[in-house]
Amino acid sequence: MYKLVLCWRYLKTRYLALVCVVSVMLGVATLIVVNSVMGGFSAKLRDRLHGLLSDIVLEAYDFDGFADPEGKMRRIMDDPLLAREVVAMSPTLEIFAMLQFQFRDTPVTKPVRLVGIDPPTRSAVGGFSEYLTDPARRDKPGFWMDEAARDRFERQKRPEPLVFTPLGNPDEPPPPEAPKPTPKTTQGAILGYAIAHFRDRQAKAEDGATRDRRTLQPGDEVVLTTVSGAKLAPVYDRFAVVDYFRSEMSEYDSQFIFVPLEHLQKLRSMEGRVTSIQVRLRDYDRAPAVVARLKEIFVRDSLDVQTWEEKQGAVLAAIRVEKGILNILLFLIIAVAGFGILAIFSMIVVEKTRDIGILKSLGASNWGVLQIFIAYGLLLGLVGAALGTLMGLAITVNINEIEHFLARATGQDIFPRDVYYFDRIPTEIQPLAIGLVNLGSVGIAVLFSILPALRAAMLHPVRALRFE
Amino acid sequence: MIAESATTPVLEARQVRKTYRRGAIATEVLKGVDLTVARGEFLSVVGASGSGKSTLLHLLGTLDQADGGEVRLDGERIDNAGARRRDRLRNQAFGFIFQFYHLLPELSALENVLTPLYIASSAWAWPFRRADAVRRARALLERVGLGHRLDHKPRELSGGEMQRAAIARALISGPRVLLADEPTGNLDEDAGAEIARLLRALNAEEGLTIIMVTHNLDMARSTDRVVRLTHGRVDLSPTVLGNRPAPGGYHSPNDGGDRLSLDRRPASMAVLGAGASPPAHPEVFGVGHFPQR
Repeated sequence: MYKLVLCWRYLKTRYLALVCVVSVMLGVATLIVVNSVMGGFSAKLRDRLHGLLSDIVLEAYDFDGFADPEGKMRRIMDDPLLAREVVAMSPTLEIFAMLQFQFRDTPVTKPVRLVGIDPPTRSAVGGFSEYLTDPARRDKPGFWMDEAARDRFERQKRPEPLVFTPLGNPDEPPPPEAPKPTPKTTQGAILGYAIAHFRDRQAKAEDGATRDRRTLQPGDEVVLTTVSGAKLAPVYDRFAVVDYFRSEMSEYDSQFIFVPLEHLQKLRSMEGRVTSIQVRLRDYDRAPAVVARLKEIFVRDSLDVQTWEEKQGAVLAAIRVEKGILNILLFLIIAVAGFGILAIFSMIVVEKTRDIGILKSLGASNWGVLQIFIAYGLLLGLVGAALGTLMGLAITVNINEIEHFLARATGQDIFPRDVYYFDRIPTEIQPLAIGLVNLGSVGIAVLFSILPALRAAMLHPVRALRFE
Repeated sequence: MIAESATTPVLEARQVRKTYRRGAIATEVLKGVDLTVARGEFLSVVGASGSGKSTLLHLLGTLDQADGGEVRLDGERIDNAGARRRDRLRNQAFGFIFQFYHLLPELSALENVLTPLYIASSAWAWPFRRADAVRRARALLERVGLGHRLDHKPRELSGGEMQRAAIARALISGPRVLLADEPTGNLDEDAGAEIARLLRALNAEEGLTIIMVTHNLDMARSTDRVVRLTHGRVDLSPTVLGNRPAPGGYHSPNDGGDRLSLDRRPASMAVLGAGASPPAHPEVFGVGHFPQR
């Protein structure tokens, strides 16, 4: 009982020990805030990395793709395991291409990734229609032109051929598979947002956010030049911009252009062929089993089966490593707090030498004295960790308000919204991380109190009583 | 369990030796001390500085360990007891008071007095013992004259009050022997006299066995027996205390003369002038009364 009484009393009266509590508290709070913010960023990044990619992709090894996607999809659904796990599938044809358009009478050329899709199935697989900027297109995605776009398109249509020539040497004879350049139904194209917009850092709107300038309006005409399937001969065609694709991942927004699958197949002389089948799963946790099964089924086809994580392996691994290193570094803060405890406890033991002598003369055992000081360390650790957790959670939950306040107070832009596309600092409170942080910090508090506690326990009562 | 008999001395030291080592230098402080203390006796130990009086006291109370010889409590050897037994003896069989009162500064007077009971009880058992313990502590503090100072912290008490609280603390577990190391050494004359009076009263009224180390020869004179230590040994030569012989051994209860006999109550009442009342506060002081022996 005396250990409890003294431990508690020391906690209440030794103000110096509050320094230990504060340092543990700050360490725990910092770790929690950093883990939550990094967790938030990382979760958002994961979402975006996943965003455009489907759960599983069956991919051809070369530009020529593979034939009979419908047959393959039937084979997938015939398999009982896959029929259970697969929710949607979509064939796509993907190839590199060059984009050419006029911006204020200047020809602009950009390398892009051209993807031929079937809009309904592509939406079913996910990571597509929700990123389209036209709200009408999110429920029923397609390459149709709305009224305003059609007007603009008609007004811009030129009777003569375009001023600029497609890629290829102008002295050479025209490419054998070039389509006829005049009136037929112009297909629509959905452009990645960053292809058709740029951030004007000088111009600021009323709310202080930077404005985006449009280089291509819906209805504008663009030329896409690519290569055909087997022979890799250059092919090109004109498309009309109908909408934009905005996933807030620059990898996709600045490179991808979506066009109708059948049209791209015809253009590239690849009727009936595609380069990939996107697959959506009911439960992503079952992906390894599904991938194994797919590999079995398509073992004789020249197909690669991968999950989205395997495709994005490098980036995800980098995020994990970053998080691990950061946690280790921040844990050093708590280790510093531990040294503080060691120092302060050593002082307290010296200060209490005569008291320890008295306790022993009253019959306290060495083991009991040891327990007092270790319990004291434990108590300081617990109080510090609890306060730190509260503080960390409070900061995490209010982090945007705090950032605003600090930005106003210091005049510095702490979280510039034009660097990241999100307008609120993302946070994700991870109970496991919080639990580990608390456990670790209490452990450190106890560990660093052991040495001073041992010293106290080993004091000889007579010498302690005579201590000046 | 303990063979208590009228002739067994409550505390006995036989050829006790103690050497202190500081680095390479060894000093033999006690060179073979023999001492017997009878139950209810008030014994003084006097001697020059460095003669080993405090050391002897510590060895008797198992606060320190002898390098040779034996210490016996009620006939049983305690110098070779294990750490746990010695801790228990210090908690229940012995009470210590020192020159510097050594109250724990974070606790009130009441809590200080309760400290030995805190030590004896686990946290789980405490709620059941608390009421009784607090009652005993209060009664003891009243007995030593601190009834109005229960909740004061040591820094709010005078030197004399602190020593009285220390005495109460030493007695809460009903010890067989009170070991006092220069109890008035740090007090002024008046406070010191009060403490001396209190100790004599406790010895006379409650039959408390007291062994007191002191420099104060007047105080020593008022006790039952004086033992002088010189150079680590009991001095058997005639003392300078006057007509009081310096005994070195055990005196039988029937030894009369100018010595106080062991059946002391009426005589001690006469000497001290206190009221001839039966032992006060038997519920507090009944030696052997407490069950946790």
